[in-house]
Amino acid sequence: MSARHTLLAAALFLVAASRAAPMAAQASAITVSASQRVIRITARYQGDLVRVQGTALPSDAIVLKLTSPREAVQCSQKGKVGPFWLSVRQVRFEDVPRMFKIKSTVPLDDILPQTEQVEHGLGRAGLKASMAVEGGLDKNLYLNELILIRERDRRFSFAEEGVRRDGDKYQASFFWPPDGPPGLYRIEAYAVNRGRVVATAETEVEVRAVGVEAWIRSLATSHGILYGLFAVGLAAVAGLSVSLLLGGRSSGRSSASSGAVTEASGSVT
Amino acid sequence: MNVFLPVASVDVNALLLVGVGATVGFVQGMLGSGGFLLTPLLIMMGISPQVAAASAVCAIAGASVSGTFTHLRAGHVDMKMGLLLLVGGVTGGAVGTVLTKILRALGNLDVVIISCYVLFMAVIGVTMFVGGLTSHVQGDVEQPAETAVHRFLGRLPFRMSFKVSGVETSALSPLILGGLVGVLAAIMGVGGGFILLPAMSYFLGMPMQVVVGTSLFQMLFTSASVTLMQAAVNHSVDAVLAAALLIGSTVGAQLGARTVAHLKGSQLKVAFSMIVLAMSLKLLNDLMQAPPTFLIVMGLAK
Repeated sequence: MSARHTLLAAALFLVAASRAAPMAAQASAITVSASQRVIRITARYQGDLVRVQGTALPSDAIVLKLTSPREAVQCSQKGKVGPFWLSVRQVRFEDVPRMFKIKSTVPLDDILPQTEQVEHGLGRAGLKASMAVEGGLDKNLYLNELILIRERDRRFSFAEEGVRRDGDKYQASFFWPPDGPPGLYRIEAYAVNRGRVVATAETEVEVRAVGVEAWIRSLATSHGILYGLFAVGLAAVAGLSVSLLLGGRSSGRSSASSGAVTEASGSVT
Repeated sequence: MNVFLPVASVDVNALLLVGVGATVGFVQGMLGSGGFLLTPLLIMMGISPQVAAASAVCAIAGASVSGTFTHLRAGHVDMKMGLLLLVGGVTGGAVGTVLTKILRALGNLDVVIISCYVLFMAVIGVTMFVGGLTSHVQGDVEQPAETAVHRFLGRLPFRMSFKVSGVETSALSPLILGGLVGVLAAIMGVGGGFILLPAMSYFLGMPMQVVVGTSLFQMLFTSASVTLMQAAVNHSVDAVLAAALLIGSTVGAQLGARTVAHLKGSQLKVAFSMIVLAMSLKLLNDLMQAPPTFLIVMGLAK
């Protein structure tokens, strides 16, 4: 090959490479990570805030989904009986996540059609399609009500936007409510372009009771009688200790007045 | 300063919790009655009625320990009467615990607990209001010598004598009384002092010191057994909640007992009865208000 041909081939390669580089950079990709992998439930636990961050192409919209393993949930339906509101029917829901939160860079309905939302389990449409209600009830009505309840107790949320961007970096935060049960939760990140999900990534966060809280929870649920003995013992020790601290001599004092008895140490009767 | 309650699964202000216990204890120390306010106050704080009632009864068990031992040492416990009350109480407690489980499964436990409180607080509030007002206007009034209840108890079989109390009555009387208190302890989380004390002194004619000692003995063991049953069957006892309430109520009761000497009893009763009636009306109003959602989540389905 002559020097001229070699130079021509090198020039063609450079041109091709210079065109291919931006094309490769534009192939959609997304990453996601959480500020903490484990949320610890301790005696001072008031819920927790987990920061989620990652990278994505500036041209892609971002949707974040926080979800958990699904379970069957039992509800009772209230109805008016006379002047009071009583339980009139038991309703069982299947495949209900303990927690379901959505955040995005722009409103979800503006970037993803319903069919795509359902396919990826995103938004209200995706969540409703993935759950079931037993007994031939009006699925839409009952699922809307369940979602409303979960939104009130801060376990479900559908934030329009809520993901902040800075170039190819993004950031958002999810709040775990204090009554959010322990377990493994998944945070999924979706890159969206032209009405389609073009890339996904995921990370996990575990909520775990630790120390005394873990011990009490475990004992209360798995060994009820033992836990009952512990609870009575703890109450007895607490009552005796405070009585002794305040002067045990007054503990048996009583006074009869119209059948009422003042019992300084037997206080919560 | 918040504390996370492991069984109730809520975080609450620890000082508020101790404060609620202290307030109830203070009222109890002043008037000798008021522990029944504990569960409704916890419900108003956002704790589920079931956990509130079960934890309150656990606190009662702890609160009764020291008083029971003091009265045992002083010879103010009628063991024969106490054991019969206890048999009734444990049986009633078991019935109440099973009832609690059934009502929970039906989805109406919260309504039953709150309805019981509305009824009891209305009765107690009106009785205290009338009693306080009467004694304020006329001074202490002698109660009538014999009522239909006296006559009914007098006709019951299995009569026996109770030496410490110095009375003779049917064995069924303490069994029935204890059973009623046991059911109430399981469903409402009360010790039942507001039933036991007047019933034992007025209907059974027991001397007041023995009434106090024996009722505390009965309350200690009935509430302890109900706590065990609630923990085993319904998993609804929050030991941390019970301990916090207990610390507050014990301190409050001491303060209340010291304060009462400086105040006029009849005025206190009228003021307290109005608070009780207001709480009863508030809970009644809650029962009649349409719930924010027509579904209530009961928990995980089996």
